[in-house]
Amino acid sequence: MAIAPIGGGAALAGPPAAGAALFALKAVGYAVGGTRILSPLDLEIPAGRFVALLGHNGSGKSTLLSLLARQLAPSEGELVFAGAPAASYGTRDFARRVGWLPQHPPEAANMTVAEVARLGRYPWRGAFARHRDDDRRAVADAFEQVGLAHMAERAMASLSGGERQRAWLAMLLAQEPSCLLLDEPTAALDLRHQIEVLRLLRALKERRRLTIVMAIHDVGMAIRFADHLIALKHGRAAFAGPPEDLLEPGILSDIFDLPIATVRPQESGPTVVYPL
Amino acid sequence: MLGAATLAAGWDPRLTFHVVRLGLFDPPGDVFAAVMFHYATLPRLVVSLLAGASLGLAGAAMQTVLRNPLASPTTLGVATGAQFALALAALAGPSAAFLPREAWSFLGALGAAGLVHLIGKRHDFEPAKLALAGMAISLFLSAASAALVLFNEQQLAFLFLWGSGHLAQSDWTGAVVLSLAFVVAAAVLVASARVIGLLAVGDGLAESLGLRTETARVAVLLVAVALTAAVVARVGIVGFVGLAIPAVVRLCRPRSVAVTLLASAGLGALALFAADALAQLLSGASGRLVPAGAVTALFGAPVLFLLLARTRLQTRPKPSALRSAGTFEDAGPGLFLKLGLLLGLVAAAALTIGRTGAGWELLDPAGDGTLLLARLPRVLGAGLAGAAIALSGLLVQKIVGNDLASPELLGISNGAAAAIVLVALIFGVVSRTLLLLSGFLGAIGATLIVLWFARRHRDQIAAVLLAGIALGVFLDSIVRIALANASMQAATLLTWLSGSTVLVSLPETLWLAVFLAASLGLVLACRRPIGLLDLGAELPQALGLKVRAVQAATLFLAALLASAATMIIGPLSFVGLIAPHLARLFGTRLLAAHVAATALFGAVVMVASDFVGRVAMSPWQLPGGLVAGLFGSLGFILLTGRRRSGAGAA
Repeated sequence: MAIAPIGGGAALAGPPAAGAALFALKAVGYAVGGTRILSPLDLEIPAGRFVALLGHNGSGKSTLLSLLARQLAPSEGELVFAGAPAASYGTRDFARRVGWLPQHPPEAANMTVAEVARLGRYPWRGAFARHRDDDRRAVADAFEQVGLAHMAERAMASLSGGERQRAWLAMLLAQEPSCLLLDEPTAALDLRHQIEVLRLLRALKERRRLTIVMAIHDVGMAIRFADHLIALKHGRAAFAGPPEDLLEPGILSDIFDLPIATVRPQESGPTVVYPL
Repeated sequence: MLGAATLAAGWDPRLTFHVVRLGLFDPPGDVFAAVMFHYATLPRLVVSLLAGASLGLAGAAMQTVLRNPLASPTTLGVATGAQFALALAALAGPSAAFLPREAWSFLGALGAAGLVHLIGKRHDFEPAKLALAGMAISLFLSAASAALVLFNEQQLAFLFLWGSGHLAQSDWTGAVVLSLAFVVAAAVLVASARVIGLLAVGDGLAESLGLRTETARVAVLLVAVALTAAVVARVGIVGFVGLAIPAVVRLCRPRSVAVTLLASAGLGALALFAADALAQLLSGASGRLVPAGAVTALFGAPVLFLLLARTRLQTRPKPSALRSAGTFEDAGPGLFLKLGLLLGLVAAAALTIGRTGAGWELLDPAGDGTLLLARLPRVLGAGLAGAAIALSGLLVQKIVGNDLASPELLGISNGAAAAIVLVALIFGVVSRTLLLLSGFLGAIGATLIVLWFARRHRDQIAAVLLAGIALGVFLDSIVRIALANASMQAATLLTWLSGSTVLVSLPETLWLAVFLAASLGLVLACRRPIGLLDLGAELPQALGLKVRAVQAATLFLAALLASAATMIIGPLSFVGLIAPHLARLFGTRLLAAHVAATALFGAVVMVASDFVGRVAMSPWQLPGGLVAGLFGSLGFILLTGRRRSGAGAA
């Protein structure tokens, strides 16, 4: 038993062309015990893009990511992934296509970096099948990409925050999905490591033609690294489009309910976003 | 009015107003009923009221000054400490008579309280951890007292960990001692109500107002401990009154400290009075004695459970620090070789070494085949059951996501025991297969309750463990009350509950061996999904693992293993907690190695415990489960004392 049969309508769906919708939300809403966290959303996540999810605390970013990752089931509406209802994919089949990392990954103090990365092969090999050469290659390649090859046998508990983040990224890459869902991957990192991780993600997106959806608080970083932005406000979509459009006057201030200005000190340099 | 009350307490239909009038003060010697009323019924009534009031008062004082809704004479180990000292004093006989029993009781209570204080201090007196430390010490001291009582009186009645308090009196001494203790303690506590109120507000504020908080707290606790010791010295352990009553009082939001203390005392008196009436009603129906302590545990343990479910215990998430030297050094095959060798040695010793009145003797395997054959099922049964409960413990730790969990602590073993005892009592003599099946159902039921609780309190392992212990106490008191109603089989069942392997037969051990081998094979084959459980629920699901299904299947297997093991070594062994830790301590990290080493350690510990129990105090035999429980609960104390206890695999 190498790979479980691909289930449901998913068998018909190939990877969508760049720019077509990878995820399509059709009036997808989420509520817990009568409290509406996400109002019915109609939204498309284009394939092959680096998408940043923006919004204030409690705007529904994490909820939206969890819905995309199927950690939560929508309480209304339909979520479509690559042309078929997301719910129609088998558990491992979905995991082979979509990798997800929570904002606070488990401590995994008891594991080595290599063991964490090898977890990424579970969707491919399941509970019993032996690891083969291509599995080892995928893991080694993942290490190469995140630059942790020399630390493979280190204990997770002995790593710094940035290294730990990269170890989990290695697991996601070993999973070889076509889409990464990341919940604030830079939240716990210092400036240098933030830049490092975001550069890595952008490079990976190019090299592996990935779709990346990432929740992030730092608007400046989002504008600088992502090529498609989605902003949520109180559980509703407030903006979706390319970074340039977000810089139109008034839009940012409206999203965050706070007067916000932007400036570009150097012609080719990054844009600085600051509250007034 | 008084007559009606005594009627409720004494439950004696011969009691008439005439008898009450005669017996109230100076009973005439020729009216037996009046003498009984004066020297048994009336003192019992007074003692039940006083003991209840004292425990309520002590509990309220402890909870207030520690700012801990889980503190009480029972949960802080104070009562068990007193009981242990009393058992020691009883064993010492005349040489301990230079001090009255109240003094011994106080010393024991003080010792236990001091130990809990030491452990609590390491955790900044975090409420649930403090209570957990107290329960750990309680478990250890109860097992120790049980062992002591076994030599002393050769009866197993004390084996139940909780609620052995009997209120029966034969004169007025108990009533006088308790009333003195209660009046003095109540006066001191109510007089210092202002100090207690300041302590209840918080140390920082109290100190800025000029109170020496540490001194004041210790003084108040000393009074509460002394009061508890007096109660234990007179009536034994009456569990959970001191925990539940102040909790009920607090629900009514009393306005002042003095009101809290006095209301707790009053309500405690009523509660124990009612519990004793119920106990006598049960005893009357069965003709055997049901201790009032079992009744209070029956009602009090669920209160602890509810308290844990409702109160939001404060948790201070600690930043994760670097806790590793960088790389791991996993244990190699050498460890398994050594463990196998050790198991062989211990088993050989258990098979061949015996002790008679004359001294030690070595069995000649060729010469004395029958004795060897008689010992073989015991040794095999102990080893297999030890391995099974150890494996069950490992699985439970994976499911709950914490390495402090175990089938004994989560009430799973108690669930199996309760179901087995009830089925055996209700249906009379039944086959061991049916008993095993009912034990399995009981274990599953208990596991589901605790798991439901664990799901709601995922980050608070101390709360989950306390809930499991509460569930265990509750089931234990059911067993106790049920056994009091039993006639013939009670002795057999008691032997079994204490973890004696005497009754094991050879075919049974063979079945257990087959089952254990199958379970080990299954766990090793499924090591990848089971290992993924370490990472919680979310991430494994994102990797395509059907987390719920794996958890349910693992749980099913763990419950099955626990009930099979409980059939042989009883519910108290703690091997399920200790063996996985020993294995981890010796450097097994990956699941396959950990499973193998855990099973081996379980077998070694259990065979050794059974052997020690057989020869240590010859001609008496200590049940192997009890010996293992002694070592195991000691290990539990050490584990709760770890600074980062509960951070384990989660």
